[in-house]
Amino acid sequence: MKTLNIAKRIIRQIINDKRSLALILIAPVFIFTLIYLLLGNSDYKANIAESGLQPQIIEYVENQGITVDTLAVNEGKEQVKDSKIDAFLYNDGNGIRLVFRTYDAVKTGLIQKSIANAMKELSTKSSVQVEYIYGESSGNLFENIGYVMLGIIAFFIIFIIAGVSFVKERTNQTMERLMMTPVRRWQVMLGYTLGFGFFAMLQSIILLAYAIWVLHMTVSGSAVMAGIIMVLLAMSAVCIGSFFSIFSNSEFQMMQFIPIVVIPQIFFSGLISLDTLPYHLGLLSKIMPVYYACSALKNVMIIGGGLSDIWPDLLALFAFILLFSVLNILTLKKYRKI
Amino acid sequence: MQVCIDHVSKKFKKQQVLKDINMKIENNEIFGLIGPSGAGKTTLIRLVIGAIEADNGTIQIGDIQIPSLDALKIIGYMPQNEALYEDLSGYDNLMFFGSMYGMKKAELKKRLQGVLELVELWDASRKKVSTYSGGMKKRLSLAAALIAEPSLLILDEPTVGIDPLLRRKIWEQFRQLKSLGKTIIITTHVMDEAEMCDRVALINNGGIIACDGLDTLLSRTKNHLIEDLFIESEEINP
Repeated sequence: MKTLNIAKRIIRQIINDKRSLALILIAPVFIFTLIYLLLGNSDYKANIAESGLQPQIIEYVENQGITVDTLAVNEGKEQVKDSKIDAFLYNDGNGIRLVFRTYDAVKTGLIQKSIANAMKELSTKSSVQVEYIYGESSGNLFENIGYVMLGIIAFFIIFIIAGVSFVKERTNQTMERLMMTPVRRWQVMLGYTLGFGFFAMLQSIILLAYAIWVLHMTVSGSAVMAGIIMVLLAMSAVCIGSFFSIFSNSEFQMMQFIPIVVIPQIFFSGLISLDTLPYHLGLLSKIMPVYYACSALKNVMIIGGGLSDIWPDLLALFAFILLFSVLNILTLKKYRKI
Repeated sequence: MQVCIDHVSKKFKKQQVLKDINMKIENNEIFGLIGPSGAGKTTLIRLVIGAIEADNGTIQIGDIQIPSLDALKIIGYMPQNEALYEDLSGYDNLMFFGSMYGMKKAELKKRLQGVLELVELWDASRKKVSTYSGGMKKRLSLAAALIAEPSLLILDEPTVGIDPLLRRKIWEQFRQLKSLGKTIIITTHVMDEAEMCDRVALINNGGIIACDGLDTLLSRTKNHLIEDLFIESEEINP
């Protein structure tokens, strides 16, 4: 009961504080829209060539505003190399190959997406093999960055809100006063986690619904599962945010943790491929909750995986929540020995 | 509620904050802890509540050994600064603190009006605390300490920064609470408040210089001034 009352108090406080509420609910949608506009929805009219493809596919692709010429394989590759066309699509007998000159977030994304749509629409079984003439494939279209951004936004905003509100409770000494009532330390921590968890849930639902219905982001797996991953990540952000608030004596000092706690996690979230990093730096990702959440989100949203594919990631998120909750309960001893 | 403090010492790092404190606060009295800032008043209060543990000695409230979660159920604590949730209304603040004592909603609602009327905040109770004046916050903080009908009230400098008129009103409330059978421990460094306590303990440099009714204490001094008691102790114990 006390736990729920603490959760209710947090919820009421945030609802009364319109700025925080807007930061939790509106800012993510704004950031996400921005990313979508920057990376995804371009007016660019792509210009490609094909060789030996089914006419239905070509027609479908053309209907999406892409000009498609027909060229011989050698000629097509040559033209891609000379940047005369954006991509060359051909059937080499084993499957369909898509050749780009180099990776370009907008063009590659645009073309890849419409071809993928065409294949899906016409339920063609064969997969598309993407090749780059220069540089390695790192296949990042909006959809591929989108899931990462969902994770980062969920973590970042809740980390800040929870951390700052904890610092506030310490500096105006309401935390001390709360600990002078017959409430147990675990009830306090659980109440906080639930209270912020409520907003984490609200935020995840709004952001996902917006991404799926307004921005037409495709989710191969279950959207509910994606929501659960985001909520778990946000819960870990509550626990980690409150933990780091112990080392801050003011709201500004909490902000100083952003470059230490948040920014590295952005780099290790899957934006950059981790197995190519030198000195085994990729291993650092193992201590970052955003990494686990993003790999689970990728699995669900891009690959279409289910619980059986992502349970180790979920387990890791639970472990973070548990670890930092225990640490937080212990640090409350500072206020009361029992 | 009787409070027994028995040979209590407390060190923070290397600094001895309290040394060998012995005193007994009787049931149903207003007991004042008086001393300059930094004397150890707040530390003593935190020890009594159980926020920190004594290095030596024991503290008992009634027959409960401190620190104890059970003791917190019968203690109402008002910290030195307001410590209220600014984003919530006065009403919601009290609802919250009440629920932390395990009070049921219906019971709380009944109690709330009485407490809010006592501190004259009933009309403003639906407003956010961030809109309150300093005096209103102080009174709400007192109400929060009273909400669970504690039998022991521990008030850390409850009247600092409050105008004389309001201070008098708050003291009337203390006396009324005493008539309801409550025990009240108050810290203050305002000497005229000491006169309103049944008994006072003078604290300086982490030790108790004297503990008795104020009149008795003053009769020992030449000029009938509390300050003299502190100055004398400095002369004996420089």
